[in-house]
Amino acid sequence: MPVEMMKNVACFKGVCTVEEAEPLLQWLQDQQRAKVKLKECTHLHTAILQVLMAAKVMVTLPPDDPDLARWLMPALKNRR
Amino acid sequence: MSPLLAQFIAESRDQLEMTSAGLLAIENNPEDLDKLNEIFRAVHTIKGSSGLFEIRPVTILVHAAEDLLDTLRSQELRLDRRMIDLLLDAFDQVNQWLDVLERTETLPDEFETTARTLSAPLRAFLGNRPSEEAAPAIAAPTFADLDWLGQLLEDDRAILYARLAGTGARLTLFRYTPDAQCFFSGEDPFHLVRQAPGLELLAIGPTEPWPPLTEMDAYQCLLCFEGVASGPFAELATLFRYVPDQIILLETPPEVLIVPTGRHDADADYTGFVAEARSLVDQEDWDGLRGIVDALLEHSEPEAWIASALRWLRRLLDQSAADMTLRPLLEAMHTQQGPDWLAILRASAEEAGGPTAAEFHASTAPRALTVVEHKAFQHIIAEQSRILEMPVAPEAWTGRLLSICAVIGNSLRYAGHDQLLEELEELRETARETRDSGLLRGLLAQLAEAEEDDRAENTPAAATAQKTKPTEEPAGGEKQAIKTLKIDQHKVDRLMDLIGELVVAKNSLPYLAQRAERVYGNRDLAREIKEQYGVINRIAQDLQSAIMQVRMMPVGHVFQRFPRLVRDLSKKLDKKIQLIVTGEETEADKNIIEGLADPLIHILRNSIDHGIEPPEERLLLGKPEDGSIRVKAYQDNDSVAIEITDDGRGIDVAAVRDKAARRGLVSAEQAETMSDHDAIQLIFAPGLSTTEQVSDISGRGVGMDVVRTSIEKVGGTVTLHSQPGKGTDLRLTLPLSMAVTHVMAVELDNKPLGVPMDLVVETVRLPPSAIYSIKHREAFMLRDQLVPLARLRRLLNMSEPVASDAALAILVVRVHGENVGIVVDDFREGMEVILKPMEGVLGSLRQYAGTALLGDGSVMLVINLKELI
Repeated sequence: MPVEMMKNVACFKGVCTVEEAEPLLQWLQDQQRAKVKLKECTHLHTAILQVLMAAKVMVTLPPDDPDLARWLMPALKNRR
Repeated sequence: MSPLLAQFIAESRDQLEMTSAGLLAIENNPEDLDKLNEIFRAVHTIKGSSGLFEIRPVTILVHAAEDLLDTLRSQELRLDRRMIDLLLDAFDQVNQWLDVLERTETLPDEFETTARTLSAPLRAFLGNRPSEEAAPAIAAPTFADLDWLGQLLEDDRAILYARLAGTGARLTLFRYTPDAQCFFSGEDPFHLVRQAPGLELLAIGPTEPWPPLTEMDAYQCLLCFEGVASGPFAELATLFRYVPDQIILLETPPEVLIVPTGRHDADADYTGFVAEARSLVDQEDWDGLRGIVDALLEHSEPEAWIASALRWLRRLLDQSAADMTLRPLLEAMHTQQGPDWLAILRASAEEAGGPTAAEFHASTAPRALTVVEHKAFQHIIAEQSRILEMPVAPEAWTGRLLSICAVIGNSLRYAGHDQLLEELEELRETARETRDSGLLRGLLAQLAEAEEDDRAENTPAAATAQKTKPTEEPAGGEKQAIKTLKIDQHKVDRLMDLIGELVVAKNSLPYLAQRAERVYGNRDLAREIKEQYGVINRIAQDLQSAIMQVRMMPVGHVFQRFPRLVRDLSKKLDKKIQLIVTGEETEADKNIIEGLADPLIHILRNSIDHGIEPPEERLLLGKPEDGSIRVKAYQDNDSVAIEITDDGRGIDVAAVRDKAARRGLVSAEQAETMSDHDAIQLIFAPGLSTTEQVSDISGRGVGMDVVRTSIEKVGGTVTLHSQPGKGTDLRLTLPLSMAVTHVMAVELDNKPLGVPMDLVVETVRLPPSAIYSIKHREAFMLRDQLVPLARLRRLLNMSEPVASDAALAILVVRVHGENVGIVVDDFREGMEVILKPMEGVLGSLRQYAGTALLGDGSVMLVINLKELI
């Protein structure tokens, strides 16, 4: 499973597909201070992206993939 | 074969069948516009779907047919018989190709020549009309403004600008708002965006404020992607080609990146600064300008809007940008509103004219229509207006109004008449309420006339660009549940097999009840089991009849081909024939119906070819000039009857007798003494055809015997009556369903054997002394008739039991129209079984009709008496 959800940290690995979005959302709904590690993530589906954005999660480890990090991280940093 | 192709073939066959029927109908009634529309839609569907596969010949030919039908439909051309002939030929060809396609899954390229040859005469009717409709594309959505660029980090933009400024490179701006439901169609917009060639800047944001996390639907796409790419515009357009309604693309120079952002200071007034700066620009005193910019920048807070604007000025100066870029920025500082690059670009494009202007126009609204586009626009408006005036069924009125308005709306957007959209919407609502489209028609007339003037006056700034939203109608249409299912027959057969097994399993319950009572002495339990058995039995029976219903289909399915057949043949033979078909809705099992097609067509051909006389002869005989053939289907108890009656010359009994004798089918004496009725039945004998002349339509001597065999194969019978000079009457009787067979079980060597119940006449028990031996054949007397006797053990090459005085069990059956007694070991009960034909290696054992599973789990063979005796 590319997204591993632990107590309050979710670990993303490889290509995270649309199927992960719903479990992730449910996990986030129960978490007050959720953190995500994207280090090993190479792509995440739009559905996951919007869940992460909506939940304003804290990214503790940005993706190693420079391309993904470049487009993803600004979106996950809450600008407003 | 891919399921998609299989579905295409199946559906196209249906559509073609409908088309042929429809063409024949409009041949007699050319005014039937509904029918014509129906045909057009069917052909249109085939053409559309054919594009999914590599089958150019089909597409080419059907397209030609579609174009012709379209002109007929719009009444630009009048229908004539030659067109119908050509169209029918074309569809026949397509049908053949479908057969090829089904076998080989591809069509050879050389068919394309055939397609072109066949479509040429169809196109000839169209004259010099263009083959492709010059319908303009749906208006491309455009940006309302470029302020959104401000959300991209100023530094990022500055770096990009620095890289591109002065190089002549162009940027492509995009805004991609994926459909909310897009995840369900397997799209991943973020992935798509990441593929953008030369993606430079990207902002991802929600289309609406984020809902609380507890109410969020993860599978409803809420994101919008806005960004800048430096890759070629064409490549970006290709990337997003599947989401044309969700994407806005605009090719621009890099200057659009210059958007000052930050906090506005309401009190500040920079009029003085701007004035001074302008004069410095006029004098081209760049150092002076740099000086005052730096001075003001020092006094401004970095987050302020003005500071941002000043920083941009500074950058422009560093890059020695042309004043064309500086001035708009200064202007913006004056109004404290970011330079409206969209308007500036548009203005400069207009001034410059030439290719750059055209380029710009190609990707942004409003556009000046080219002459061709303008013509198309007027054509569309006129067309909608015409459709609006056509009569329509009341229930379709609103739908039509909405689609017409959607078309006009899109055209207006394309032509840049956005200011008229509101008016259109108002008129649409009024029309919906009052059910009167008069006002709307007024607008259309006005548009069609005034378009020319509008075009001249139309200023680019007047219109605001808008995103086209897909109209709501299609979504509403999709919601309608599909009520008919197309199911692979194998699935239904499987269901049938399972029900058969259920019946067998159910039948083991009485055995169980017996055991409970006899072996365990528990009567109560036995009774309860029997009660349960009753319930399961009822359900199983209902289930069985329900699945039979699924397999039922109307005989009209076969009848559909008749009008075409009669038309073609009567034309060929110069006969005038009316076909009257009744009872098409009568239903029977699918297998039976399908087995019926060929025999019926054969019978019909016989009637047309041999039965009906040429018109002159008919007139001489005092008959109406038009011959008539009636096909009537109806349900008759447990069977379906189909009668084919013609009023032709009837069967020549003398010729049949003569021929039968000559062919050695009967002896000369037999032929003489036979009754007329019996003699006529001889036409069912193999190898007898009465017409001297063999035509290509019928009369090859393989006729009626094939008919009889194929009808009997599905368990039916054929009866024939004919009166010389008055006509022939054929009656086919078919079982409703082949699924359940009634058999009479008999015992042989302690094993059960089934005999089809419809053959059984009676059962008798006779002492061995009642059997006569005539030479080496045996017979017995039954009610003063001598009945030949056969022994089943001998027929099946089994050893004979030791002779005894016990009574013989004799089953009297009727085979080939004669009673025959069959000696079996014992009789058992009659039962209903699901007969499975012998398959595979056993398939060649023609002595057996098949096998059936019994309640106790054993297998019973059902014998085929017609083969055995």
